[in-house]
Amino acid sequence: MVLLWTMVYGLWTLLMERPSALHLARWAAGIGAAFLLPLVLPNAYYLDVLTTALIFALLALGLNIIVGLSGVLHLGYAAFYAIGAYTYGLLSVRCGVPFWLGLVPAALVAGLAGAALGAPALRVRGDYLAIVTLGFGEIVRIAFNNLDQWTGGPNGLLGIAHPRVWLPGRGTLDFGVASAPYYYLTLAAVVLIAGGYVRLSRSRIGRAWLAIREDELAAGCSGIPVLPMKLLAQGCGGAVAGLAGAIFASKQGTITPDSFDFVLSVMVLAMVVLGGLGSTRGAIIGALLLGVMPELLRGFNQYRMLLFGLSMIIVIRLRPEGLFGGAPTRKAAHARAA
Amino acid sequence: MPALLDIQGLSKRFGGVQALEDVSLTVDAGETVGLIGPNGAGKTTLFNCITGIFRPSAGRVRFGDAGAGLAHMPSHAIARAGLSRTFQNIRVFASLSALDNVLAGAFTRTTTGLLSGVLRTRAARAEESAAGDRAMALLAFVGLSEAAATPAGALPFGWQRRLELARALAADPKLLLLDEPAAGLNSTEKAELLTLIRRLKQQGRSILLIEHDMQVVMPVSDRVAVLDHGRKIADGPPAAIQADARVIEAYLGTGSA
Repeated sequence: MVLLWTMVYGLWTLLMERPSALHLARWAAGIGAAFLLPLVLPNAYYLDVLTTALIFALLALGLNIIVGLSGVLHLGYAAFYAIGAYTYGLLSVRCGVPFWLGLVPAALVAGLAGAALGAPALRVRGDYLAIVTLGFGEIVRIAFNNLDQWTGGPNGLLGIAHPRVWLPGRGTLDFGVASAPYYYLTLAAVVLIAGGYVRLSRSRIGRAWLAIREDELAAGCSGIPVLPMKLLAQGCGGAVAGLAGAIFASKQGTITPDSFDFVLSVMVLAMVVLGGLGSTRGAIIGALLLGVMPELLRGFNQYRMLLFGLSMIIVIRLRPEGLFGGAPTRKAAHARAA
Repeated sequence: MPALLDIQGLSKRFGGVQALEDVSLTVDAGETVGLIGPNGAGKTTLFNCITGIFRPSAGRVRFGDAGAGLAHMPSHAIARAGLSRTFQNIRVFASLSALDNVLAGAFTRTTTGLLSGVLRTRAARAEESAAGDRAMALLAFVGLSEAAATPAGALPFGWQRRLELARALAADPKLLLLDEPAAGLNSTEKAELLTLIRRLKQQGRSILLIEHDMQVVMPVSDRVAVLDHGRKIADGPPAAIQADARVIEAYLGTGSA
């Protein structure tokens, strides 16, 4: 528990704008704790739950680019996750492409799918856009379900290769069905994507997205090309989901279309909203909470999902802006003015 | 020398309502033109046609030496061409800090892309720092230095107006369109606004100014155009406009004299 807390605290610090020496120490402690965690957990089941939660964290970060930064409500985000998973899965099964090489096309195809969906969909607004994205999510899942000659349909795509790494002195190590390697892999991906997300949200592009979220008309009149920037956000968000999908596929070895249903899209959205729109920490903490909580509540048997829903209602009632709500606005102004 | 902004025969119809009818108007480089008229005369509609928010039903808008026809360009391309505006109903990016608002306004004057932003390349950091300095200078110009880190939505009304001005200036526009900048301001704030506009004039900026308040529009305008019921009824030096019978009639109604 102490380790878990140190890890969360350290990761939190990781996302600070200008880390001081103390922050760097916390950083190191957090990463160290995250690294040591698998050694102290009683069994692989806990680690597996945590890995799944970290994959959720990846998805929440990606969706946060679309919903939190550019302000587009997306209800079919699981589709990009599916596209990433099937892209790597098919490349692995059909062409024998290794995992590390397969990551690139998985992210790329999912990102392009995001932009391709966005081009027509973003011309409608509000409720209509939500319905279009919802429809897209379902269409992708149904397509994978029905294209049995390629995807294996509802039986799933079988025999996807696990990642392998070459370690000096130990030869090639296949991740296999062990839990720890996937945990480390996903952890590394979350740290990487979270870092990129923070930097992006505080860059020129991130500001343009936030401006669009705040006021599209004023953003356009300030010279920000609204539609292309929204497409870029969809592409980035899609690419992150594609990455998560490839990791998921390599971990499972088998993927079926029903792993990517509407409920998943809603869950990821709930993580983003619970954590606070646009917030990096929020997306990660929201994903860890919602990813782990159903497992923690297992003792309550059939009341599990009831309690889960109840706790979400309580949180949203008490903090409507989410746990870490508020835009990641630039706070360096004091330093600059001084 | 051709005019900086050249509007010819602009008309805009909303269903049965003729909001603008055959309006022609020019603004020369370095000139401040006031645009006045009773409520509903079509002033803001004209602005919206110039900035790509509405498509005019007829007529054309030329801007700068490029002679680009603005009537069919999207808003962001018009802004990129050098035309920045403020809004009658304030439209700041409410949850962003004042500084971020101005930085967002500098979008067309900066180039950092997706990858260089994520990687924080040397060029990206240099640009970010230069853009930050410029934005702080603009905030200082409009008197909002101490509010740089405050979310724009939390600023008082008058400050938000000035923030919009700073955001518009961040794009370093060739022509500044101000849509009723004095609306809702008290007399002290109006005086400050006048000082700001005068300083912009001294910098050689070209300004097209919609304003109701004669105490604001008359002293700063080189020329004043008057709209009434979507038509331009007068165009000339402030003194002549104040004496123009049709203008007085439009504002006060017939038979009042």
